[in-house]
Amino acid sequence: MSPGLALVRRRLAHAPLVLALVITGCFVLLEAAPGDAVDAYVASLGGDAGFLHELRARWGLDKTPWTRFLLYLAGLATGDLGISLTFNRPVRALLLERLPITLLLAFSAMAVALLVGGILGFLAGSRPGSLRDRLASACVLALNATPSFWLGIVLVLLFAVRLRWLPSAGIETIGADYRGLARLCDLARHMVLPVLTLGLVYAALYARVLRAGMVEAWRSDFVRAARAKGIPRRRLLFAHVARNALVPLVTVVGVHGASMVGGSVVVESLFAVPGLGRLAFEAVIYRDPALLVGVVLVCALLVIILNLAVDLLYGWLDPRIELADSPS
Amino acid sequence: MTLRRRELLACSLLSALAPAGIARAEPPRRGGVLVVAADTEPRNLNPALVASNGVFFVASKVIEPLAEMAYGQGGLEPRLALAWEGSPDGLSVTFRLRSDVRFHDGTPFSSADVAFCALELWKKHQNLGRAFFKDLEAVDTPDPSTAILRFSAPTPVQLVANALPALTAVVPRHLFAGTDVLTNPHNQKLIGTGPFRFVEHRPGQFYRLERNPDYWGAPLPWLDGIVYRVLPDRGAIAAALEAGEIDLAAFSAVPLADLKRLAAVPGIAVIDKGYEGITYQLTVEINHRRKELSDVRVRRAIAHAIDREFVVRAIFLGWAKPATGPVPRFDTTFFTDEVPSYPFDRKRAEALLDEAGYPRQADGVRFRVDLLPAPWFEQTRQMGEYLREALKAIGIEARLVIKDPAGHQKAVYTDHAFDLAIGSPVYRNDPAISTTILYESGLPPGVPFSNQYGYANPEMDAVIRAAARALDPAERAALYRRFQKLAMEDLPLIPVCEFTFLTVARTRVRNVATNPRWAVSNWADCWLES
Amino acid sequence: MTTALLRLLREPTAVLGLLLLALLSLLAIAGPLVWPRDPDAPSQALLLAPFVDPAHPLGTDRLGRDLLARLLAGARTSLAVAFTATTAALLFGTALGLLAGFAGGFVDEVSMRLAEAFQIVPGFLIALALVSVIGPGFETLVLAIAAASWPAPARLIRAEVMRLKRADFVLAAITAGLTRTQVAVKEVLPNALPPVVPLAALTAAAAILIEAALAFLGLGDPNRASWGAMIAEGRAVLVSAPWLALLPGALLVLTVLAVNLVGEGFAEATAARRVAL
Repeated sequence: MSPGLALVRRRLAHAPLVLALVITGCFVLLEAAPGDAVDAYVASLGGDAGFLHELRARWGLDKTPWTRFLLYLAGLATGDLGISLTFNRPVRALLLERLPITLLLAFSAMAVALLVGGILGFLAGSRPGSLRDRLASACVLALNATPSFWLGIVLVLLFAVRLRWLPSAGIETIGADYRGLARLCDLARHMVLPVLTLGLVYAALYARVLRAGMVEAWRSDFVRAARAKGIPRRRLLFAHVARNALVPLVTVVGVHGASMVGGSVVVESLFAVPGLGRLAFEAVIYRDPALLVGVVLVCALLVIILNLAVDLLYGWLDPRIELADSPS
Repeated sequence: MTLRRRELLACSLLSALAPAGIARAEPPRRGGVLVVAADTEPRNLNPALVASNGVFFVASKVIEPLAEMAYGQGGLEPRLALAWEGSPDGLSVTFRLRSDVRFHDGTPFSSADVAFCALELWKKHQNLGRAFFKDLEAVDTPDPSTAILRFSAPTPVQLVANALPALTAVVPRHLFAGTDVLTNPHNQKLIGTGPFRFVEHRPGQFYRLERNPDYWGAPLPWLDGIVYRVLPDRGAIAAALEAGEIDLAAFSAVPLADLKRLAAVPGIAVIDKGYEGITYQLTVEINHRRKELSDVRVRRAIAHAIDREFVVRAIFLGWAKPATGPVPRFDTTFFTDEVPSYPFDRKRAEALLDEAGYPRQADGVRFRVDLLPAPWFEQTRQMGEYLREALKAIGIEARLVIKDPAGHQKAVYTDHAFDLAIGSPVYRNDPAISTTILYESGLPPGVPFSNQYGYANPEMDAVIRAAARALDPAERAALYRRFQKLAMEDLPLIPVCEFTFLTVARTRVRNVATNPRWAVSNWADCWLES
Repeated sequence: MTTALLRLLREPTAVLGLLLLALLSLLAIAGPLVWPRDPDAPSQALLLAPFVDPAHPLGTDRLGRDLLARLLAGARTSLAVAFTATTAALLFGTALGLLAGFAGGFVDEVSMRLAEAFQIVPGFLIALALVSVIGPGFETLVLAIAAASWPAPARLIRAEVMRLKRADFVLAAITAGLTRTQVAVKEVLPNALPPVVPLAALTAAAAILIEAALAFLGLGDPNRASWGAMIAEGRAVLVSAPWLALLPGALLVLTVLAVNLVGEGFAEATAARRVAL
């Protein structure tokens, strides 16, 4: 069996315990929270004692937390993700509805981040200490220090309110009923600002990691020896330095995958993107355990897949890494 | 300074109002889709089951009540009911209904629908109706256009009439009868009699309504449709409005601080009318279980420590009025300002606290309290920050404790784990609907927006009970004036100011704010300039 | 250790970062002495522009509160939360990593799966959930941010321990008769720590940004001025009174930048050392 597959197996063997911890954690969090789903609901409308009582009975909140937890687990065992109390709909349907847009946002942002971060990091790392490095690094550090909500506000003010080039929020023009290519263009126009906001923050991170990796590679004995032997700098840059620096970059992409896939609550709020991050936030606010667990499970699943891809990439990037023995 | 500023505000308001608020001679134009901002997506959108402004904002265009509020004498305008009359003994109210109305699915509307809704939805399940219709025994339907509500105890027709706009939305009986009404799919896919038909809701994105060509009020409505764009972020609403992506933001969805600037933007108007029927108050809620706060002198001291003019100017930027009592000025039937008042006077406040036996200690602090501002409005939170400082000035140290809605509801209205709270009760056209409940004793814990303050005064309870049964309008009004006086003498909670929301709209939106509940009314006469 | 510090001081980025941080910390600590105005006290002068009234050099906000005093108080909040949360995350992460690495077996398995469980959920979401459920406050913020950031140091320390466990000097110490705890604390821990320092800088930078984002969403400590909350308030008047959002925003960027510079400098210094070896 290849080492890559062994790792995949080991990772998957971990998954049940990790997921059990996550599910229990979500439940405990919402159980320990003051107030329940009915409290959250009536806080916006009022009602008499009987109204509250009836709702609690209907939503199963008159049962003990243990019973509810076990009932949920029993449902989960049969593949039933339960009903969201907040939306009064099956959690599965809600997740399926939001997943495509979340994936679109996350992967576009990741692409932007890799592209911009890659270019900046490469510019800086290809000649450490040069003016080019200083400029690129300054850019990266400034960008890295900028909070995403701040970036989002400024981008909206500039491109949507002042210049009116792009829509300020949402994911499509409502009622336009575009088809085919027109619909795709419409979607793309709406995604530009949220993707930039989310992507640029990560671009800075990726650039830093890439540059650090390249600086380290330049200093490695291997490269120093190769340079002493007169191998041209340009060849080394692509064949060794950049390639070696990709390993830590890929690791970081994997580690931060969770935040990206879970979407950014802030970015989703600012741009009214109906993604998973906001859904999770609402699940917390409205004390909706099934929904929270559902979102977190989807995130977890995506992160596991992403990490598996990262692990397999390692082997391709650097055959020297012993996959099966890497720290868990 | 204060005056000049307010004059300035008034001027800018007037100029902003002119294009949208005051009807010009120009005839209305048919067509166009109105795009408005929505910040919530209620889980149950059926106004017959859930009476709340969040639901009405969308649903009132599709499902209509028996009557709607109107400016001017009488205060009510017929919708599904043409007229109503109470019996002399107060035990029944007879409604004459429209006979030319059809639901959006083609079935005719009749008294049977009203009877079903009254008994099975409003009385049994509706958040406000459960208490309000508790004495409703039966609904007689002698013919399709007559419905007689029968009560087991005398119920003033004035009260019933005042409750019509908010509590009496009618949905078709044939879709709900024999089903579990609370899980009925038509709580989402609305079917009503209104000027607009429900088309679709895409969660997280929008609601879409289209013109009902068979509306009983033809040629209304003027609009081809309404789209509610879900924008959870308030800043995003302002940006979308300024970018021309939405036409209208109701319920002060745009931050107040930005309104003065927005009002000056060509093509945008700020309208401060159309919410008088749902006037909110900013109040300081007090836990009487806390020894210091159970002393009326301490409560009065707190009232004296609040600079209402400042609150109106700083927190509401002028768009509010200092409150005199639990009933807002707009309700001329019941309002009185002949009540004790507590002008801003720190010396007086400190004297009262000394007198109550709470002198400043060595550290300058008399006692400490936890202050819980309700999380739902920007203004309740800002009032929390202001009150903390106002109290500090008279030697009471307040610690702000912010909770999310569920946490706040639980802490204040169930666990009574607070000393002071900032609340925002809404006045719904009659003190008996959602206002006296803030003063009445003996309510079980857990009931939101009710007297969970531990305040109990037999005299107050007696007045509230008598007013709820008084059939003579003059007698009711007198009782409610007595209620306001008592409320301000005892000061179980402190009304700080009354505020209504604002609408920000593009000037091409016409017939905005045509009634005192405009944002939650049917918008049949609203139209768009081309 | 002193040589490491000296090397750090030879890195221009680190020096710049340290200077900036020192300046900001000075402002935060000594600010109230130099500008002794109550940052929360309202005044009648609402929304005053900067450089108009010497009583309010940087102007006032909607409730007439002095902006300079609030910015200084915001620096205090930001740095205090970030410092405490980072320390808490590092302490907890290090302790757990050490324990997992040494104990191995079941303890290791459970702690590492716990770390994975926390990493699989977006960090900001963890913080957000904790704060909205417990209710905002200083302690909650610290707890929430620490909960979002402890797994990285835990896993890093554990990996170092696994590596060092087999090192000669550790084996020598064990043969010399030191107890497991003594070996862990005296021999392994000091050698496992160096890579944690750049991580600490990253964590601190993230902590500052998380605090600001939470405050921006209205989940900051309501009894302390916070830059994030000031930006959220200022955002409503971004066009008519831009300084209200721009000034706290600029300070926020500057602070995170300073922390990042220090981290960057330290990474350079350690990298240089490794080459020198």
